Amino acid sequence: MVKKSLNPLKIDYRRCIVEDRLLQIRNEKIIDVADLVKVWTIDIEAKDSKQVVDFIRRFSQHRDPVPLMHVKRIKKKNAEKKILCVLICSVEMAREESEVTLFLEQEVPNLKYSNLENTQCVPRQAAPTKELVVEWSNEYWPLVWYGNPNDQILNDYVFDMDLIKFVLELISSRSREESQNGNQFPIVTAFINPRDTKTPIISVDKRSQHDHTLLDHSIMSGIKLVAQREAMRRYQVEKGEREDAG
Amino acid sequence: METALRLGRYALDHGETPVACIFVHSPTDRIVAFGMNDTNRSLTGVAHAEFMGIEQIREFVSPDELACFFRDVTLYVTVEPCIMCASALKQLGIGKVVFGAGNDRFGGNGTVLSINQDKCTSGGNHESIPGVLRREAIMLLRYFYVRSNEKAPKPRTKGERLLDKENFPPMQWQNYMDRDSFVQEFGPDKIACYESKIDWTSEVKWELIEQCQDSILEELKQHHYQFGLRLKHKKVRR
Repeated sequence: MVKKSLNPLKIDYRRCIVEDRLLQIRNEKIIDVADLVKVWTIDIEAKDSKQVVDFIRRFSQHRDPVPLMHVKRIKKKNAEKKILCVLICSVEMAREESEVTLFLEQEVPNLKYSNLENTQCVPRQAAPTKELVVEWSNEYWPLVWYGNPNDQILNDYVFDMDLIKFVLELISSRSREESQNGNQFPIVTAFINPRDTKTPIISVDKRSQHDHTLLDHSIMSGIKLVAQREAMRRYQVEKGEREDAG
Repeated sequence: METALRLGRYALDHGETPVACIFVHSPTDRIVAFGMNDTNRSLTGVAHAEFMGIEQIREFVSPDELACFFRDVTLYVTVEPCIMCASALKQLGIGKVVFGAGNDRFGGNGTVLSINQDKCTSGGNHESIPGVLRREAIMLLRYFYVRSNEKAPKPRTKGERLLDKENFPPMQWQNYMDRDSFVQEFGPDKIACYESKIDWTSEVKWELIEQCQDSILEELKQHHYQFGLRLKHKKVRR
C-alpha cells in the first residue's frame, strides 16, 4: 500500500479511471442500508485485551471470509468494572458456538471470558461516507474511518500497464480479424496467469459457428481452456515432467 | 427428483459438491440427460450439473434444433440453479425447472434473482417449482460441508462440525410462487404448508441420500443412450 500522493499510477478517483483507460466497474449507488453479518463476541476484562487482540491478528483476521478491517474489535461494555466486549469473528468463519470455543481454548487457553454469543450484527462492508460511519457506529457497532473505502481500493490496485496495453491490443486485433471473417459476435477474451504472463489464453466467441450453441461465449470457453491447461500442468508435475511452480 | 438426489449422493461419494440434475422429455416422460457437479474433477468453476446435462443433449440435438427441443424439457435439480445456469437455461428455452433447496448466495430462480421470470435477460420465461424434496437436498449439502471441501480455494477451518439432521430453515414459498400457483402445483390440501413455511412431504427420504448409489451412473447412461436411439429412429419429435 502506498500513499495516494505517491502512487505512480494516474488515478481519477472521482470517475474511477486508472491511467485513462481502465474503468472500475462498480455499483454507482451509495448504499445507505448496511448489509449485516452476525458476529461472535465475548466479554473480557480490560487487562486481557492484549492477548485477545493478538489472537485476532494471529488467528482469526486472515481466516475470516468476511474482511472486518473496517470494524473496531473492542467496545466498552461496563466502564466501572472494566469489562470489554470483543468481536472474535463472523459467523461465516465459525457457524457453531463449539467452533469458537475450540479456537479460544486452543489459541488463548488462559483467557477468562464470558457471554460468548452471536447476537450482534455488524456491517459486512465499510461505510461509503463519513456520515454513515457515524450512523452505523451508533446503530450497530463502532466502525473505523480510513477515508473513502473505494479510494483505498483504487489506490491498492497493482497494474502492469505495459502488459495490459499489450493484451488489449492483442485481443482488439483478434476481434477485428474475427469480424472480417464473418463472426457475428467478434468478442475475444484473454486469460493471463500472473505467474506466466507470456502465454495468455485467448478465447473467441463461437456462438455464430454452425456447430456451436448460444452458450459458447468467449469467457465460458476461456474458463474451460484455463482448466485444461491447469489439469495438464498438474499431470506433468505429477509425472515429474515439469517443476511445480504453483 | 428422487433420481437426481441419488445422483447427488453419487457426486458426494466422488468428492464433488452434491448437486445433481435430470433432464426429462415431458411428452414422453423419459430421461434425456443427467448432470452432476464436476467442478473439483475438472478444475472448472462453471462445470455445474446443468451444463453437463446440456452437453449431453447437444450430443444428439443440433444447435438449430436446441430451442425447439428444450421447450419440451423439464429439469429436476436438487438445488436451485445459480444465476449463470438459470440464464443458460432461459436462453435455451427450457420448458420448466423443478428444484429442491434454494440457493441462498447465487440462486437465479427466485432466491437472489428471478432470471426465469424477468424481462431484462434474453430468452423465454419458464415456470419454476421450488421445494421438492428440499430437506433431502439440504442434507446432501450438509454431509458435504461436514466433510469439508479440501479443494476449495479457502478451505474452512474444520473445528467441530456438527451434522444437524433435525432442523431445517423455513421454506419461503412466497419468494418463488404465489398461493394460487402453489395450490395448482401441489393441491389445495397442502396450502397450510405454504402459510407455515414448511415442506409438504411428511418424512425425509433418508434411503435416497444415506445409501451409496454406485449403480445410478450406469442407469442414467442407459437412459441417455436409449433416448438418443429413439431420437435417431424418429420415435420422438425433435
